[in-house]
Amino acid sequence: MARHEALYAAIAGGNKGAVETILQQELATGRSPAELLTETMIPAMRDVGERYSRKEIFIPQMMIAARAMDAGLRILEPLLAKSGHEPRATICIGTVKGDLHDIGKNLVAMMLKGAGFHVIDLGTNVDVTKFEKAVHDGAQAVLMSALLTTTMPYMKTVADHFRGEKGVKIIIGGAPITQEYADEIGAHGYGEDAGAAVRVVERCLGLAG
Amino acid sequence: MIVTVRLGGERREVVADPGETLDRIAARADWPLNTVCGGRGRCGRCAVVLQSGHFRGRNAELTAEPSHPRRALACQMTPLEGTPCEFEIPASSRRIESGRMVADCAISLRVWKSRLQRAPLRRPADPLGSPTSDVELARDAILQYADDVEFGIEAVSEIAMGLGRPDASDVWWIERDGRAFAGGARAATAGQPLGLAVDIGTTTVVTALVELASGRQLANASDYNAQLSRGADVASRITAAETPGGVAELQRLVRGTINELIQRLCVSAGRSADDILHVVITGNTVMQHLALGLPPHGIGRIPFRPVVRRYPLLRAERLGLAVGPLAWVEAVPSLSGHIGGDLTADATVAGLLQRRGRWLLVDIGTNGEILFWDGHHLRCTATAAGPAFEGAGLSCGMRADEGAVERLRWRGDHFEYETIGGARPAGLCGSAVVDALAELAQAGLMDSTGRLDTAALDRRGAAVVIRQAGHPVHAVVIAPSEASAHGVPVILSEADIAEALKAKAAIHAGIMTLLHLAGCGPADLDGLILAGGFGRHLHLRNAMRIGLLPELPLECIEVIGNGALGGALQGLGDPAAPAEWDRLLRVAEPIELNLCDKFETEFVDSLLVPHADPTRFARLLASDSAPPTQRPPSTSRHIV
Ligand code: B12
Repeated sequence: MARHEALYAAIAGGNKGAVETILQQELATGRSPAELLTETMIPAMRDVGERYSRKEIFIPQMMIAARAMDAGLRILEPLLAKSGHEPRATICIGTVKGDLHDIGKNLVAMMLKGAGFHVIDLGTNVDVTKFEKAVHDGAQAVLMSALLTTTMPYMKTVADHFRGEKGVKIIIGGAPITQEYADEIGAHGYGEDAGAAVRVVERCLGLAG
Repeated sequence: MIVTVRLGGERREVVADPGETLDRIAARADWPLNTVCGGRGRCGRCAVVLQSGHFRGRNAELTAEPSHPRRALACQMTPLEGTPCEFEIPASSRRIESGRMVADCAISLRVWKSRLQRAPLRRPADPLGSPTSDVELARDAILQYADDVEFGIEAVSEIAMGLGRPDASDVWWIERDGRAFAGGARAATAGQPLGLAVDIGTTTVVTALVELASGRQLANASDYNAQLSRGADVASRITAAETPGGVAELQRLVRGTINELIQRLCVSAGRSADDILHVVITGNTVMQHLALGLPPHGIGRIPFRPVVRRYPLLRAERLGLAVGPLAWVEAVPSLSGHIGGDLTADATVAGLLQRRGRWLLVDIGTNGEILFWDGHHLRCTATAAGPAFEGAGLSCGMRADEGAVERLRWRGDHFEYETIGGARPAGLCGSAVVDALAELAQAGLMDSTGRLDTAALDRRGAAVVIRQAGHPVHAVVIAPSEASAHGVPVILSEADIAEALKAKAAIHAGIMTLLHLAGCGPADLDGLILAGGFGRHLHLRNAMRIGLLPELPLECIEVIGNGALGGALQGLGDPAAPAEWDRLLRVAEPIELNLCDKFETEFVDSLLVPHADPTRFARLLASDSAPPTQRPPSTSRHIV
């Protein structure tokens, strides 16, 4: 199947209503949900993420595209689960303890879902114990978000906790976070934005992009 | 090496050490720059124009020539040996007092009655007659005016000393809820007692000196908060406070700023600082904590709990304020960790709780604070807008200061603008950013997500492409280089627009979330009170057109200006003020927006211009298609 142009445009343009209508129509005619996702929706969202990284588009456009994607995923997810569609890997993500900012984190989670990952979203104000449990449940990477300079240091607490635990990758991001900070606390990866988040997870887990 | 620094028409030569950054060189020329982020290259407020010479920046070298000046951040640039280096400081990048930060509160108190009072100490004619102690002598004098009086050890020892002095004929105190707090003894011939109102903002400190008996304002003064060197926003101050000795250091810095202002106030009023006997401090909760030397750490993370909301009364001496050592210092209570005494002061001076119906009070700064009163509940919240409307973080943003474009209008093929002081445009302040968004949207040159129609702008010669973090970014020209103050165009880029949209979305979503919690909408409001300096200069209709404020009839919006300082002054001259503060404390219900389901959707919806649901602005959009009714900018017309 080729990419569905109208659906692609609806996601990239953030037209949530159109995404829903198109999906309903296509599914009714028997189109495979997995194909719609991988051939059209994921590339559309990836394109949005990349244009955002290149500063061709900005937060507002990115957010509405993400919302359209999210609406689409809501329709597809139950069908995909039924059809036994295999995720590429499992990761967990959360905003660290003390912090409740989650818009950026949700966007990253959404992009990763869109890129075919199984995402355990731990929400906000997440402490070591919760991350630990997710890893126990199979998460191969721990993604942390922080938007406050006062809560960033908690990332180190989590990174220290998982140090030495083989295989678990620590990936961090959020507005005040930098690559230097990631290096300083010994994280395996840092992503500047939601587009970069997908690339860094792929790199850390050794998956081809 | 010698570096030439220019400002206005003046030039100074400075011998620079190798590796010294331009902001340090400027400081040596006695023109310190506005390095709000502490010289980390983050805030963009120390921009200078390189006129000639080679410079090294963080990643690359730059060459400037008079025919090709370059704009750069002073804190990131060092001059290189070998060429004569020269740079110019735009007025907007200087760290000086701005005329516009000053205390303009639109509400004046109806009656003035000093909370500081004094009474003559009557020495008994018969020294052996009653009373039985010196303090009781003073107490009897005070009890003529108050129901109850409290003497601390300072007052006791003052009175002991005072009674020994033949000239100490008065005793003074301040009144709080019918109770007197004895100050000390004082000669009747001493200067008129003075009061000081202080509003400590994260960025600026604004003060006013008043004569307590008459309520006459003698002088105003404001300056940057010296804590700016330790970060631009409250969160970074909290981080700084957490380092060893941090609280004391931050307290010392802000004390320095206040003491300097006191000196300036006294010089300009021709009074002695020793006559200042009553000080009322307001500001956001973090600033108030730091001013009193209290750790603000708890405010930095969940559950955002301050040490105290109702601050104890204290003596100036303890804080090291350069006023009468026994002066009473009061801080206006904070409503929560993120809603400070400044909002309590705004609400008191606006008489919020006395109003009938449903009222919003909004104070737009780096943090947008919102109070909603419906006659029973006072819901309040803080929404983190970021500094875009204060001119920080935008490529050509600046404070509302001389040379800042403050009003804009699109004239079909160029912008017509008004600058503060009628000077050549040096940058954009918050109100101009709001105007630009509104005008571009209305002219169809910007879509609802904030993207520019670059082809259409280009046809009118108003499009440029700038580089930001290595990527090309589209921008609209507000004033071309020929017209601007520093030979570089004043622009607004798509990245700037995105920043401004985030800020307006945070505020609008905060307002709508509070209304939603109360089960009502903008149409149910009786009015909106807009406090703060930004609100004072905002074009209200444009603020609604871009969806910063909800759609309301213009006559329902009351602009009160610096209500925080107004409320602090009220603390000096209205005996009912402390009771009102306490009432606000009792009824306030702080709301944590993150915990409201509705907030996030509303934030994303509000990122669009005016909103994902434009029908909310239907009346406004309909009347926009009709001929405009608002007056056009009045002064200087410039053609792009
Ligand atoms: C919206 C917002 C809020 C909302 C949060 C709503 C929510 N559910 O998240 C509300 C109003 C509730 C809020 C509250 C507060 N906020 Co706030 N908030 C903002 C604001 C305006 C936008 C943040 C945002 O959502 N951006 C959009 C998203 C998409 O971007 P992002 O989060 O950066 O995420 C991107 C990248 O960073 C990256 N990324 C993010 N996480 C991760 C994780 C990984 C693993 C990777 C790889 C990448 C990645 O990808 C994302 C997409 O590209 C900013 C200011 C601004 N203009 O940016 C302030 C801001 C972050 N807040 C700030 C503050 C201080 C607060 C408060 C503490 C104080 C207050 N009341 O204002 C409170 C308390 C916060 C709390 N409870 O934790 C400050 C922080 C300052 C500092 N030095 O730390 C800011 C910078 C504003 C300011 N300058 O004052 N806030």
